[in-house]
Amino acid sequence: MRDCPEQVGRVLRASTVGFAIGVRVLQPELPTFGTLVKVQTQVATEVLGLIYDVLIDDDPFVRQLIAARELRDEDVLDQRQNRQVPAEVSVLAVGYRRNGTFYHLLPPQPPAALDCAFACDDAEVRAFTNRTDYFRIVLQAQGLPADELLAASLREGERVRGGGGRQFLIECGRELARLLAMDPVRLDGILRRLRA
Amino acid sequence: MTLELNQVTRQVHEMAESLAARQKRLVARLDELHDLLHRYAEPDDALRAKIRQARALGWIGAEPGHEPLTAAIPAPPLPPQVSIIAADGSQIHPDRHAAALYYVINVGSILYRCGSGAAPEPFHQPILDYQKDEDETGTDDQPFLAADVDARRDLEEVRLLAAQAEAERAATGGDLDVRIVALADGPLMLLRTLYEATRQEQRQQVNHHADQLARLQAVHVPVAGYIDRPGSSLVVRLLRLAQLDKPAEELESQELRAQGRNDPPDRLIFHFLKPGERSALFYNTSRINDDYEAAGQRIAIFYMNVGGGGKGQTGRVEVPHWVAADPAMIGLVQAILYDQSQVTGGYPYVLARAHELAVITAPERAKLEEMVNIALIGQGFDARPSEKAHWKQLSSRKRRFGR
Repeated sequence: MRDCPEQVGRVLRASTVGFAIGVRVLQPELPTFGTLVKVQTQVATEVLGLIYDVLIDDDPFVRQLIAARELRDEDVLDQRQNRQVPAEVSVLAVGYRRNGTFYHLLPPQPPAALDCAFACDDAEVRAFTNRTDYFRIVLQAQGLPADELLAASLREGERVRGGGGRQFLIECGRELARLLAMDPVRLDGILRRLRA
Repeated sequence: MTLELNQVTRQVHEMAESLAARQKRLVARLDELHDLLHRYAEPDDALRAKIRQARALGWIGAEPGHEPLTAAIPAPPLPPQVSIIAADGSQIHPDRHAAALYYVINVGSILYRCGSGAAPEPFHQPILDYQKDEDETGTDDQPFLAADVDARRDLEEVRLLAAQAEAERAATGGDLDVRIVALADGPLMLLRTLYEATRQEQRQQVNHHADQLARLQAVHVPVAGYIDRPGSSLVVRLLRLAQLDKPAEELESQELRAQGRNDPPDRLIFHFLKPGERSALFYNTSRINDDYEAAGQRIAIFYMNVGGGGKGQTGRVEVPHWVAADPAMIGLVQAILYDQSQVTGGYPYVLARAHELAVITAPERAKLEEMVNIALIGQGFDARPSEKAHWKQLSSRKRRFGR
C-alpha cells in the first residue's frame, strides 16, 4: 500500500481552477481555512492551493442520532471514523511550483484523483507569499469567501515571517490598495480583516 | 410515467379503508387473546398433551417453556464492559438474463466494544460464486435458486459471527469472564429460506448452521437473532389450541391448520411489556426446529419491548436453547438489545450499522455487473445480457417524451 507521510488527504476530484481533498475527520493536523496546500501532479510540478471550505456532510443516520437521548463515545467515534469519511476540503488553485520556482498562475494540469495533498511548510508559505501576483486569482474567484480567504492567507504569511510580519502586511496592503483602487469598500473590508 | 397514479388513487383509498376495518377486527380479537393468555398463563398437563398431539399432526405454534405465559421480565443492568458483534447480509440473486450466471453475498459486521471508548471495528466480506461444471443443483437454466442463495447468506452471517467471536475471545486470552455477545439481524433459525427445500436439504442446511452455533457455544458467546416488527402468530396459535374444547386425542389436523388466520400477530398480545421487559420463553414447534434440536441447537424465542420512544417497539428474539437456559446469558442479550435500541430509537444500533455495512446498493450492483462484463470480454466471451434484459435496461431509463 502506498502511503503519503504527513498528508492532508487525497484528491477526490479536480479541475484547473481548484480541487477537493478527502480527509479523515478530527485529525489533530486537520487543515484550516486559508492553509496553503500542495499536490504533486507531474515530475517536478506541484499544484498549490488555498483551502476555502471544509465540509462534513450529514445523512439520515446522523440526523436520527442527533435526536437520541444519549450517545456513547463508541457511537460518536463510529460515526466520525467509520462512516463520515471523507470530510471534504475545497481548495482554490493559486499557483504551481516547477523546478523549485513558484508561479502565481493557474496550473497547466489539475491533480489526479487520489493524489496526495500536503500542507506547505513555513518556508514554502514564506517563499510563495514573497510575491503578490496570486492576489488577483483569489480576488476574482467566484462562489467562495474570497476576501476572507485572502486575509487568512496573508495572516499566515505574517505568522511565518515572525518579526518581519508587520512589514509584510504593510506591503501587501499597498498592493491591495492598487488592485482595489476602484472598490474602496471592498479594500476596507479586507484591511479590517487583517487588523482583526 | 407508466404508472398512472391517478388511476390507482381509488384503489389506495379502498385499501386504506379495508386495512382500517381489519385493524378494528384485530383489536377486538386482541382483548379475547389477552384473556386467553391470562387463562392459560400456567400451562397444565392437558395443554402440554394437546401440544404433543398437535405437533404429531404437523401443527406449528409456540411450545411454552417453564415461565408463566404472562411473564414480564425486566432487563438486568448492562455490564460496564461488553463486546458486541453484529452481522447482517445482503445478496445479488443470480440473473439468467445477465451476461454470466453468478451471485454475490455481502456480509457486514461490526465489533462494538461497549464501555471501551474506542471506535467500533467494521468488517465486510463479499463472496462471489458462479456456475461451475460440478454444480448439480437447481435446473438447467437456473443452477442456483434464490432460496439457496438466501440460505447461504444466512449461513455466512452466522459463520462470520462465529469466527469473530472466536477471535475476540482469543484476544481476551480466553478469559470466559469477559462478556461477548453476537447478534444477527433477523431470525436465527433458517426457517423462511428452507420452505422449498427437501427434508434432506433442510437437515443438511440446519446441520451446517448448527455447527456455527456450536462454535459460539464453545467460546461462551451468547448469540441472538432480532426480528423487528415480527408478523408471526406462534403464541396466538398456542392460545387457540388451548381454547379448543376437546381432549388431545381428538384433535384433527384440519382444524389446527385453520387456526389464527384472522388473528393479530403475537407482538400485539405482548403490548403489556414495558420497555426493557421480555416475555416468557417459547419454542417454535416447526420440524426445522426439531432438526436444530437433533443437532443440539434447539431455538427458543421470546418477545421483547426494546423501547425507543412512546410505548416502545416489540420485537422477537431467537436464541439457542443453551442461551435460553442460562439466566445470565439471556439477561445479557436482553440488556444489550434494550441499551442499543435507545441510541437509534427502537432498533439496535449495531444491527443498523451491520445492515449498512452489508447492503448492496443499486449503483454498486450496476458497477459489479460492468466489472463482470469487462472481465468476460477480456477473456473473449460474448458478454451481452439477453435481449430481454437489454430492452428492460433501455426502457427503464429516462424517456425523451412523456410516454
